[in-house]
Order: sequence, then C-alpha cells, then structure tokens
Amino acid sequence: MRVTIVRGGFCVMAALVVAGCAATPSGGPSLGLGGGSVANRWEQRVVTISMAERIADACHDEGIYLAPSRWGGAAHRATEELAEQGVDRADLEAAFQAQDFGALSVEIDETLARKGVERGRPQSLCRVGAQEIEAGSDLGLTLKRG
Amino acid sequence: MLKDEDRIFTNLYGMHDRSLAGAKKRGHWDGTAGIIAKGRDWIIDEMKASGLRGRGGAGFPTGLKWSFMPKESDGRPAYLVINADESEPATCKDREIMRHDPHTLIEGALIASFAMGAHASYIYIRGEYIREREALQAAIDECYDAGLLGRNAAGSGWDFDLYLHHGAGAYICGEETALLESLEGKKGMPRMKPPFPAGSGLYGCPTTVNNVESIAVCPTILRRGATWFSSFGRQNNAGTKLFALTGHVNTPCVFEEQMSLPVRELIEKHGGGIRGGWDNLKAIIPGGASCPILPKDKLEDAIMDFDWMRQNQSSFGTGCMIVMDQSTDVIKAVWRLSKFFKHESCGQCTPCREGTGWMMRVMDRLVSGDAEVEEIDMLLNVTKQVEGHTICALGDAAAWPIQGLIRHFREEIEDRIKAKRTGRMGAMAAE
Repeated sequence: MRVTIVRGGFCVMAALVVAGCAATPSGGPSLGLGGGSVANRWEQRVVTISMAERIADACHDEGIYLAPSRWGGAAHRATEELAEQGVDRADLEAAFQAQDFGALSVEIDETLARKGVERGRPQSLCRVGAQEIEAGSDLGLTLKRG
Repeated sequence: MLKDEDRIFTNLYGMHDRSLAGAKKRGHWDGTAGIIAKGRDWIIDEMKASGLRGRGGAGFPTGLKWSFMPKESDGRPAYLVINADESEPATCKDREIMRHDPHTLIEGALIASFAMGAHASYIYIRGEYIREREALQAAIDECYDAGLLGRNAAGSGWDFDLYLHHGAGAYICGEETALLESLEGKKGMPRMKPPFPAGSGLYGCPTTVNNVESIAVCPTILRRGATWFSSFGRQNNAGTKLFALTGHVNTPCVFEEQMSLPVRELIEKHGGGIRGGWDNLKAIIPGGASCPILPKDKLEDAIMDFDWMRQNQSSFGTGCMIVMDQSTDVIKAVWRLSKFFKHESCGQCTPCREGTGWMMRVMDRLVSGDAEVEEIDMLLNVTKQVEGHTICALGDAAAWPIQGLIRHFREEIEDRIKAKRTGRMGAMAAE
C-alpha cells in the first residue's frame, strides 16, 4: 500500500486512514516517503528522524520521546521504511553511499533553526517538538508524548 | 567462530525487525508458558546446570543466586531487579540487547521472576541510554498489548508486571545496593551487606539483582537445554557471551562468541587485528575500566574467561576489552581511569572518598614525571589500604588498574621520572 504524502513534508492522517494505512505502533509512521528521487526521499526521511532524535534526546524529561519503530538509527530506519514501501534496495544503497553526511548535518541544523530552535537552548527543541506533535507533521508523527 | 545457529542474540546489530513480531520470527517467546509450566525448581536446576555466571562483571553463578530467594513467601513480595545501568567505561554490550533485541530481556524477566516467585520486576536503565529506553519501553508496551505481560502473562498463569526505571547518570548506581537505594528514590549510596538483597533488598523485600545479559540469555538456555549452553567454553566458564573490543583494533565491535577463546583470536577475528599488527600491541584492560591491565607478554596465550583472568591477576569483568597499542601512554590512560573513579565515588566511605582523590593526584605526578620514585610504592600501598576497606567495590575498582599498572609498567613509570629529572622528557608524556 502506498502512502499519501503531501509535498512540503506534511502527512494528512485522514488520507492515511481512508487509504487503510494508518500508522502502526510497531512499524512506526510511514512518513515523508513520497515525491522526488529516491535519494531525496531517503535524505528527507533521515533529516526528519535525526531532528526527532535530537528533540527526544533533549526532551525525554518533558515526556517527548521517539515514536516506536521496528528499526533504530536514522539512516537504517529510513532505508527500511522506504524498502518496505517498495523502493529498490540497490537505489537506497546508492543514496546512502552518495550521501554527504556533513552536509546533511548542516541541513538538520538549519531546518531546526528555521523552526525556532536556538543553539545552546535545549528548551527550544522541546517547544518545537511539542508544536510538531500538535500539528501532526512528519516530524511530529516521528515523536510521541508520554 | 560461533555458528549462527548457536547465537542467542540474533539481532545484535539491529538489522532486523526488533518488534514483537520480528522477535517471534527469530524464535523468541516460543513456548514460554511451557517453560514456566515446568516449575520453579526445574528452571533453577537447569540454570545451575548450564553453568551461567553473571554477565555484569562479578561472575557469580546465576542459578545459585536465584536459589537464594525464599521458596515460600513470608508475606513480603519478592522482586527481580535488572541492572541495566551499564556505566563501566568501555562496556557497551547490554545497550545492544536493549535497543535491538529487547524481547530477549523481557521474556527472560518473566521466566526469571517466576523462578524466584516475583510478580514484579524493575529494569534500572542508565540515564544516558535514551534510545535504549525508548526501544525497551516500546517492547514492554507491545508485550502488555499482546498479553505477554500483566495478568496471566503469556498464558502461563503467572501475573507479572515489568517496570522500566530511568537512572540519572551516576556510575555508582550500577552497584546493586546503590541501585536499590536509587530505585527507592533515595541517594544512590551502597548499603552494608549483610543483609543481602535476597533477604532484604528492594523496599526491604527479597530481591535478586541480575545483569541484563544474564537475564536475556535464560529463555534460550531453557529452550535449548543446559547441556547445549555448557558445551561452550571451559569448565566453570560456560556458555556464549557478548564481548566488545574498543581502542586500537581495526574494527571495534560488540559480538557474541563462546567463552574461553584465546584473546588473540578474539582480537584478530572480530577486531580485525591490532592497529599496526599484533606486535604493535602494548596492553589490554580485559573487561571494563576496573580490571587490572595486562601487558602484551601476558597475552600471547591468554584465554578470555573468568578463571584465566583471575589466575593472571586480572579480571574478566564484563568481557568488554580496551585494547592499547604501542602509541598509548599507559600511565596517562590509567590516570584517566583514576580521575573517573574519583569523580564517581559516592563519598560514603573515607578510604574511597579520600583515597580515590589521593591516588589520582599521585597519578597526575606520575604522568608528568614529577613524582619521586619512592612514591610508586607509596601509591601501591595506598591502593592496598583502599582495596577491601569500603562498603562497595568502587574502592577496589579504583585500586586495581593502578596496581596492574605498577605490576607491569613500573619501569615505564620510573623511566619517566628519571627522564624528567634529566630533561629528556618525551613529547607524549609532556602533553
């Protein structure tokens, strides 16, 4: 089953439910997996998971955690999620091998900064995490409360 | 090398699905109720027969430890507490279980708790283990949803609850009685023993504290039989074990292997050899920071198990080895460990509180070469005054690396002092 994805990184849960594809706790949300080349889709998912990890690292005492997933680690998890969507593993491997993780790290920093995260203020990560959960964004659905 | 079919941890690297469905596909949660139906005595006897020794460092026989729990309740509940406060420097094996293969631990917790008459178990997880906490809690939640935990857990007729408690980052809370104090909401300071936890542990109730790996291996042992498990390793050192290699090996890793293999074989097969070749090896710390260091000349025929390490004045510990090549300033390496133990001393016992700081300050001078040669023996003497004179083993842990250093690298220490005196101080030592 393909997942309905809205460009810009936001997933419409209603569309998922109508499609009979609601996110399952064991599989984790199947998000951010549509649109663009395999490399772009993979990279976008790695960025989202990495941002979620940073938020969960800083905010577990605030009750914000990573939502359960069958796989750990941003790159591995993104790969397995896309493979489950039918993406060829060879293409995913090529995306992984071609990836400049230094640039990806910069992208993660910049994306978080655009969302209002201030360097040296972990509390700002929690604020963003809470907002994203509330909004039900890709990032929000990669996180959970409590 | 251990055959794949003999591995207990089949998702150690997280390459497969870690959810309940994935764990079941790999053979976990298979016939759990049947194991429990065989009864407490059968389980404990089988664990004794397997020869499993605790995987947290002390190596106490697991089945024997379980047998210390009261057979009949005097009205107090019994508890199993699982020590997941994996804080020993260089030790990172339990985290692989918790984040990638958590169902081995949860199933083990149910079986072990039943064997000890415990309806509740607590997992005390290290504060820094955030991803591991998430993975483990998700697995626990799945088990509750699937009826594997809670009332009539896994259809066994045994009611069992499992709680995950997140520590706050203190090394001393890995000591079993400090852990119990912390779990009770108090400051993590070790308790005097006796009373031992089996008589009066958590909330004054009979308690057994076991390491994560010790519990996680028990379902597979009971499924495959004690004879299978004890067929690995030398007598009294049975089984398969998670090992780790860190430091100057080509491929640092965590891996499962049988006990009692040569140290060299482990390093070369799993660690890809020493950086620069075997002859570039200087020393190892076999099983975590508290184990005495062993130099290369001791390692040519060394066997990685409890008994060999004890016979050679070191310790098997957790089986997670720090490897140092010839480029290592071994005095500085041990100084760093001294600093760690000084920082982590809870301060309850005077020999530890004062001794760890004293030892570190002398080690400061040994590193720079500013000490007197006589201070080497003075330092050794202080380690003997700390060792065995504290409530818990942190004092011993702080003393042993220094004793190992002086035992095997006295000449290097003396040379540095002499070099400083004569102005021939090497660049590395002067860093």
